[in-house]
Amino acid sequence: MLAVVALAASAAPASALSLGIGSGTTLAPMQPGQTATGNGSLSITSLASWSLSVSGSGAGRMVAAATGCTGSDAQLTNALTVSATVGGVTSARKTISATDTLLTSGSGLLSAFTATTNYSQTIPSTQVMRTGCVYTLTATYTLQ
Amino acid sequence: MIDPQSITLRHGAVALASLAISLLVLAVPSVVGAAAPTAADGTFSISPSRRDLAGKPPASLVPTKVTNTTKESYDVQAFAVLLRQDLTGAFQFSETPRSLTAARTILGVSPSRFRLSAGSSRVVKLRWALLPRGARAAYIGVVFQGQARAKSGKSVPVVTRLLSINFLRRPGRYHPNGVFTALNATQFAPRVLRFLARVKNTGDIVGTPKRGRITIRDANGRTVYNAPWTGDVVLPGAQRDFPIDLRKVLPAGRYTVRTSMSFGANPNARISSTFTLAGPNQLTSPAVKITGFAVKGDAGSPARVSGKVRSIGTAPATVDLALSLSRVSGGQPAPKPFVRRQLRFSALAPGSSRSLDLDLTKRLAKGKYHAVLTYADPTGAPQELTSDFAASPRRSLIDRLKLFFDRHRSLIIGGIALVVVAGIVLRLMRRQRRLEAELREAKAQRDKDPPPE
Repeated sequence: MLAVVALAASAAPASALSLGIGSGTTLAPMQPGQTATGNGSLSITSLASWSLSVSGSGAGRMVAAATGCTGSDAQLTNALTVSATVGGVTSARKTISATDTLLTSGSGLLSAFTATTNYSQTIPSTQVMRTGCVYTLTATYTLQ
Repeated sequence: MIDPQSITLRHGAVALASLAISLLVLAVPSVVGAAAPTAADGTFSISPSRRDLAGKPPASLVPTKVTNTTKESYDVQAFAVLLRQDLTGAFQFSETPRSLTAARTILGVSPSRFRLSAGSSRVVKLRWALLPRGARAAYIGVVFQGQARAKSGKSVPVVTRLLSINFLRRPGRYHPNGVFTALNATQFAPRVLRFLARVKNTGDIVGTPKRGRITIRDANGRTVYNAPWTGDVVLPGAQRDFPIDLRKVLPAGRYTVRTSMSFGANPNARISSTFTLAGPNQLTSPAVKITGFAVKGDAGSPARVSGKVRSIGTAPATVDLALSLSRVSGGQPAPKPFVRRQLRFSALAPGSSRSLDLDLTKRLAKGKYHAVLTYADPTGAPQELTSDFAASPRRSLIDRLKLFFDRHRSLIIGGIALVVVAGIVLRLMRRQRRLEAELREAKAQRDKDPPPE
């Protein structure tokens, strides 16, 4: 006989996770010898402990678009970094990589936070970037 | 078929079930002035997100409801993963094919891919098929990944993942147990100390430290701080740090910190350590900062590292540095560095600094290079510095003189002008002195030989 093992049937409120998907962030100035920056924002509401981690495509290095980038470096030399500011406290800056890295966490009953994500991309002066070439990286945020 | 008798809801499940987290990507005040999404833009959510249950596989779990209240359609992927736990308490998982296959054989997810249109929801069924051979429990996560179908056009688009946590085990007798393995004091923020009580779950079931308490005594044995702390789940075999922040300001001095807890069969686990404050809530702690890190070199010459290692803490610092140098091709560093170097700076006195200057290679070939310097700061957090340069052929003497002139043109012209002006002034002064001497001589001659009357 197949059994249904239920938790939600308990008197305790059902657990839930929800996440809104933003439109992303654009970094600037994307030029050799510059540090490009950009900000995003996350709103977190929690009834218990939570943690937010981040990983990125391209092993954390922004990748040139398939078109319009002839003669440009296919990938940026340095990985994108990000920090999160929650309640006026800024987390340590983390280098985005292919594996999940804990960005920030919190706990407490019915807490609501707004986290600002601060991106920074150091571009060496030796980087070859033709005008019009767009570099992108998909940042994956995991909430648990 | 439902068999309610097989449902075993443990005490811990109530706490887990109360979890509700929502995270909403809100404003994106980017430099290009993107429109800021608001809470009204909706969320991507799952419910329930945590399960802690005892039962016998095969069994169907209460399904997960995936909801999209935004105004966009999303591509959703759902897949099972094997959970492990790191020191922060966060659950980690691997996405290697082997690991994903192992997780999938334990917990089936259906459907695993679907489109979720705006304002809709969908039920995802979870089927607990089996437990690994010889295991009585499994810790399985289910990742629900949502990605907007419409391209955002941004350089850093965002994908969101919600990780549901599922503790699955057979009914029966378990042996919860846990011990402290470390207690460290850290400087969390100015005038805020953070104690990290590291707990290892030595039992055979997920457990939570209970009745956590921290006590701090000064050098005279007087209790200056006493407070409870709250535990959270620890997987069997895992270690987890529980942070306990001290905001009460203690004066400089030597202290003993002690913490205790109850963990399963260990009702009075305890550990203590000592720490010294150099000032009000200021730990004497080593801290290192590396400034001016750069690597440069010409083709045919060594790659020269420069920089300073500064001891900026209040206790002697020791730091291990790892330097690596990679060729860059197509903007991407080679996966394997062609030079690696390990350096250790021991017992750097507070306020002191040491030079990092050294040659990393013998002779560089022409090309672009990417240097990485990594080290662990006193909290154990990895730090990374990078330096990029292009090695060009060494210039001739004339070229270097030309380059020097180009770089310092204004300084050189100013210097020449200064020398010319100084020469003119010197010459005028000499002429003045000569005229004065001639005048004195003429005057003396006139006094000696007065003109005839």
